[in-house]
Amino acid sequence: MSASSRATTSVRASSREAFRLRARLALGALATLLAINNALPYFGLRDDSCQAMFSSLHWEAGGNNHLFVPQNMRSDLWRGWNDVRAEVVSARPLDAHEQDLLRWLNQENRQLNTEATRAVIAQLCDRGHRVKLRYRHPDEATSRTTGDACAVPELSEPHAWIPVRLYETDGPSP
Amino acid sequence: MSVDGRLRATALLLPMALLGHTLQLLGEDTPWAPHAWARYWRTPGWHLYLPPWSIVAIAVALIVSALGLAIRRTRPWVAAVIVTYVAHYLTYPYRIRNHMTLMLASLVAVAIAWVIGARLREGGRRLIDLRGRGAAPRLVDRYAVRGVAAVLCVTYFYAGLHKTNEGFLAFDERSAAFRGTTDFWIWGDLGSVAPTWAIALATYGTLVVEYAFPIVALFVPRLTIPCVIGLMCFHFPHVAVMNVADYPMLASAFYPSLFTAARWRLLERELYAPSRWNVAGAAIGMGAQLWWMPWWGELTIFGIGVMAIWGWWIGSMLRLYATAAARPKGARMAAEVAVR
Repeated sequence: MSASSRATTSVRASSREAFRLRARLALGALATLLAINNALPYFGLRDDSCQAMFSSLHWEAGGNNHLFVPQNMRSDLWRGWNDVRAEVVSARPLDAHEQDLLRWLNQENRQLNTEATRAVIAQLCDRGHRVKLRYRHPDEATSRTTGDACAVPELSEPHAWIPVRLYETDGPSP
Repeated sequence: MSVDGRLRATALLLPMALLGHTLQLLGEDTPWAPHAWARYWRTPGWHLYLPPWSIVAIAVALIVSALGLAIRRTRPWVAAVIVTYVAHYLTYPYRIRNHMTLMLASLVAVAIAWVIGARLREGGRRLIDLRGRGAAPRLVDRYAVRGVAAVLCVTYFYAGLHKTNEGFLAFDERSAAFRGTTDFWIWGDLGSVAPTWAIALATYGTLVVEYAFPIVALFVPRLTIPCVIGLMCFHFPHVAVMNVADYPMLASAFYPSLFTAARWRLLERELYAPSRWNVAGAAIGMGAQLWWMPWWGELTIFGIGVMAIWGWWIGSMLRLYATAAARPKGARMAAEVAVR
């Protein structure tokens, strides 16, 4: 075998080996990310699109009905506020869109997902309004109130790095 | 499109899968309805940072890409579907369906292999280019197919894992297997109550199929065809009576990745040539859907097409077995060695 053909063979082997290595790493990382995504319900981090369709899987703060995977809530993304009452303090009348948002906050007998509540309040705050809010944490008997929800990050700052809906925006009050 | 027949088959099935996706989203989310507009604004996500017209533009671009792929199965159209689908997923303003993450991960697996291949050169040529030419297109596409297969295995495994719970195994109304089997019995005119053995088969069978079939299909080539037929039979009640034909169709678009390249080459000859087996299979599939479907809805009608494709596919796979069985034993062994 001549020196040039040996060199050609070597280049071919090295670029193909580099491809194999990079592809294995990247595809392995993708499969791992997918596995992590699908495990998110057990950490209270996602319900939509984790392949739990028709699974009858139920979870709450204290546990779930799975036979061997424990529940370990890591955030409040899965939670909902109860008995929400919102009032907008504004120098101008609300337009139709703002009224829609306020109506959603003031639904009777609904539990509002924390992240959806933040997204809605953030929109009202971004439009220059002040939002007075009364709400009850599901684990507490008495309501909390705030005169300016826009100043409370827990109520008005959605996680900007989360691209899509993770939980139902609202549901019946328990 | 590709030197790899499995990727060609996936490209052929993708437009149908995207049709199912579109039908489900439009049918359930009804984005033209006034309440959908209100829902748009109270759903958290990146769509809130973008003008609404851009979300519509992305969806339209995806539909155009899918139509382009249906008309001309070329790599640029597959690439267009991948790019627009990723954008569509990340900006979708309503519930992200289970099938959407499977689709996203599978398309990204293909994209990863293609991008890595396009960035590496051999003797001045890329390993692969956007036309599918290059120094090593077969190698690149083989890895794309492997990535898709890994996504399928992870997805089905978790579907089984989530179902390993007291509710699903309860043999009562809490269990989707119980409800689905009862519906299947009623709509198929098999009786008003599903027998216990059928519910047990549906309950434990679901776990066996979801945990094991894709993995066995991938790692035991001799069992790929029985496992793929098993997956299709498992999904039939979902298509027929549970009004979710979109997910099974979308998953099946990636089933070719579970085959070895050699076995797919053998099957391809059967798939792309009409025979009594695949024509009869398609007719039986359509007939079964027409018999069981509880109402005429967008996804149940779509299910007729899904069952026609699967019937054709199953007929082709069975003919492959029948042809092999008809050969003398020595030739059978030689053929078996050849496809390993």
